[in-house]
Amino acid sequence: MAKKDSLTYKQALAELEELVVRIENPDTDLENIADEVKKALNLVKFCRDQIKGFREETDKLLT
Amino acid sequence: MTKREEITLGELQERIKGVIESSFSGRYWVRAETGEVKIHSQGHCYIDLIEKSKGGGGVTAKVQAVIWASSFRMLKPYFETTTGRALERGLSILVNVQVTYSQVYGMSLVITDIDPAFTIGEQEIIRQKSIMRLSQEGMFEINSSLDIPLLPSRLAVISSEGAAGYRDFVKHLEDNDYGFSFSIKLFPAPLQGDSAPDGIIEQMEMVAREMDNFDILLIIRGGGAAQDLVCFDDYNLAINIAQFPLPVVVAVGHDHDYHIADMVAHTSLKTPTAAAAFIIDLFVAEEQQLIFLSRRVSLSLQSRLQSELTTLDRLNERMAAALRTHYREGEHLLDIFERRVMSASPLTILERGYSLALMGGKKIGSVNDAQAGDDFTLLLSDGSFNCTINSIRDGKKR
Repeated sequence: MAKKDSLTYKQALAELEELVVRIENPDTDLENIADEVKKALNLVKFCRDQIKGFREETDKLLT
Repeated sequence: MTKREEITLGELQERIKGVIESSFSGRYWVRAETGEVKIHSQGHCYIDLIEKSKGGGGVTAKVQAVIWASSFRMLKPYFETTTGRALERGLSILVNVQVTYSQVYGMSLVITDIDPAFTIGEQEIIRQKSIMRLSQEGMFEINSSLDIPLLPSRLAVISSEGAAGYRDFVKHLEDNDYGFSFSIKLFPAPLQGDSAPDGIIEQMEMVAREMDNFDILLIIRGGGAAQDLVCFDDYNLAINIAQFPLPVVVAVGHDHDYHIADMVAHTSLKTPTAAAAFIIDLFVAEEQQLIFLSRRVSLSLQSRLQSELTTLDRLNERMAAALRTHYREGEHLLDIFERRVMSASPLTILERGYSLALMGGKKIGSVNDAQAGDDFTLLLSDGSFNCTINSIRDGKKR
């Protein structure tokens, strides 16, 4: 995922939300849904890591 | 032609002497002013006694007088200690005299006694008149209304160079325990006798000419006989001190003396050492004030810093709390998204061993959605089959 480097948390979250809505939509084509679910879960992980990074950084700054 | 009587000069003088001395055989108390006073090497004191017209003009009476050495030895100290003045020109005196006549030197008065109380009275009257006049002219408040600069370090001093008092003053100033330094300029003047007031006034004019170079003027005189200090009661000196453009500090007296110069000056002190201490004290007071202020600055700075630190701590804590909330909310949102993905994802079902039939990317939810011979995809958790429908059995139709 080369795209991840330039992805911001905000963009990732927006993309994730879009994916969630698509996956939940019963009309969504199921052929590629596995990829989309994988992508969504990757975005969840990416965002969690981002938050973890922010927290470590700010904890260091605030102490 | 009448026969004329001729006598010798000696006989004439003898007759005059007889008439005078028999007519004025007693002792007389005479009020007079002293003119020239001379002390003979043998200890006799010759004084011109004079009387001036009331208007202060010319001499209206004058006679020679003498105090023989034998009397003078006792009268001199008696007069000087009682009046505080030397027996000199310009004094009003009351003397007990005997009239004598000498064929050689003419008439003279032999002074046998002197009443110092009279001189004191006369002197005091003059002094009181001067005080009253100065008071009416408002001279007592003028110099004292000037402000002494906070740190008077440039000192003009009127004194006499060799005088012990001046040396004491300089030494005391320069040896101060605090390391303050002063610039002292001496304006030498005689500080006793009739010429003292004029001499001092002359030097005051010199100081005034360069007054920008000085903070205050000091008139300083060490110990000395009380009679020498009468010049500090002089009216002219007093008005010059009062109206001097710089604050004037006078230190000329003894403990028991208080002169008119002291009254008109900005500050009057007893001794030259006291004058030096006065100036040093001004510096000490100012230094203490500075120390006090710098302590206050440091204290208020500390408390200010402390309160800033508290504020910063509080802001820091608020920021940390806000961030914690922020992160928690972010994570919570991600949890929700994750759960939503997982529950909506068909993969969850496939992983349990079920499979899903798709046609054209859509679920085949009913036997009515396809016909025999149609191709479809059967999705499993690990891949898919491409299938063809052989036949259809409608579960609702028996």
